[in-house]
Amino acid sequence: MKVLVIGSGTIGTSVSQELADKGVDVEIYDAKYLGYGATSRSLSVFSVQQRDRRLVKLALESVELAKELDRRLKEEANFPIGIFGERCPHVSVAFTERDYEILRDYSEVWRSEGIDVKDVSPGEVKEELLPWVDENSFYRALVTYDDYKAFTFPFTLGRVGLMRMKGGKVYKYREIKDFDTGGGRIKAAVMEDGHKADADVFVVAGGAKSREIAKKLDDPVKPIRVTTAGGFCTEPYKYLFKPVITVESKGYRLTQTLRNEFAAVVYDMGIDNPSYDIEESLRLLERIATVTVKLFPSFAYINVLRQWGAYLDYTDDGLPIVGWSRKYENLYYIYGFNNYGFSIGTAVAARAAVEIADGRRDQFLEDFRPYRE
Amino acid sequence: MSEKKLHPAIICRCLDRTQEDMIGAFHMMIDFLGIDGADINAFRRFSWGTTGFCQGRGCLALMQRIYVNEMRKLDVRISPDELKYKARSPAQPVPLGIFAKNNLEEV
Repeated sequence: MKVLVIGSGTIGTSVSQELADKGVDVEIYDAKYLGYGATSRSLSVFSVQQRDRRLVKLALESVELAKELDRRLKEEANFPIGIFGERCPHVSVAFTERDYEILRDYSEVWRSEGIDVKDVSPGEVKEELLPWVDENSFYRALVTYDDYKAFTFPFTLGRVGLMRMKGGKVYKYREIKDFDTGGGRIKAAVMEDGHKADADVFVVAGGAKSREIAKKLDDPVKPIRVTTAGGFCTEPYKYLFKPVITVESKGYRLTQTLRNEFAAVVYDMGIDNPSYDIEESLRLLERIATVTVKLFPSFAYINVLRQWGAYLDYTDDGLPIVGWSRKYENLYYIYGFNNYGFSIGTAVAARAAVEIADGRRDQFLEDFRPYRE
Repeated sequence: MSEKKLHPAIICRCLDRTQEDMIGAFHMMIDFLGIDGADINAFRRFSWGTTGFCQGRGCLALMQRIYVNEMRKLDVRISPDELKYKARSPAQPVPLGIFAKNNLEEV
């Protein structure tokens, strides 16, 4: 069997590598470079702080699978640093009482999957986790201890390496312009230069841009909202800042990365991004800077080195889109991962690969089908 | 003929990487991604060049030169388009506090 995967982000590379492991002949095509899009602009945290029980379960499953991936990269592919970092606390900050009530509702979801959640005062946060925090700046916080930091690029590029060891192929800057279809099947993907790539199965894993592919194929799948996001990184400092900080009300997340830089992202600016713009913007930087300095006043002196824009694919029910197309029998969708592609992508990709390669339906993925209401 | 010893030229001052380190990273990239998957962005990610304090202001041209030279050794011709690199703001490192507003409501 030959599978053509469109997209080389977290999801595309994960599905491809899982398929290659099953002895499937895989080719990845990406319109840009490997990992372009939300993947290379993410904070690369495996977070259990999800809004739905099913997602928390998948996040926990992803961590276990990623540990195994880390081991394989070090042992089989001779990839010295691996991809996996340390377990870290995740502090969700509520600035107001109302924010706190919303967070408490989410925490019930985390608890229902057995996650240990601590409800702490600003003073306790300062004493136990973050000596830099201004304890008068926020109302309360909820802390979980099951998150992991990872390296983004080794994660996707490492997977490509493992996939290639099993005979998979990858092509950058190959945008698919059209498809050859007939008899309820896709026969081939047509590139800009007229080159045609045929396959038995086509997998759409193009993140937000999957919307354009579904449109090209005139397939009425569940719509997604493409929103503006972005982030920044600072100069490196000694690695002391272990926790991940989330401010849900501002769509904001900050941590010190495994490269020792501070990196923060806004995962939803509340603005649509129909043109898939990745330009940096002052507005975004102002939001990140304001929230950061409010929480950590001394961070006002840290230098910003680089800022970027991004786009994310949100679904209205907050669940991803995973499953076979009804219009074309050999087309599989896997996208719409909101802001948690990194957190749950590994587990979903592994399950999807089983569906694609073995033709079995995974009951757990039934709620994520592309045509749900 | 004995192997020519590489001059220990520093390419990336921020992260202290020599020419030899960069060439090593280049070959690691080719091993992992193959020629079809490799590009200047992946080279930056494997070598960490252009990602330090200077953000490529000091090392980008040198990185591009190594990339082109090594690709040429593999019989791959690189067009200038493939060396595109997106320079991001701020152009110089800027303290975070400059961008911070007084009230959270403003952002």
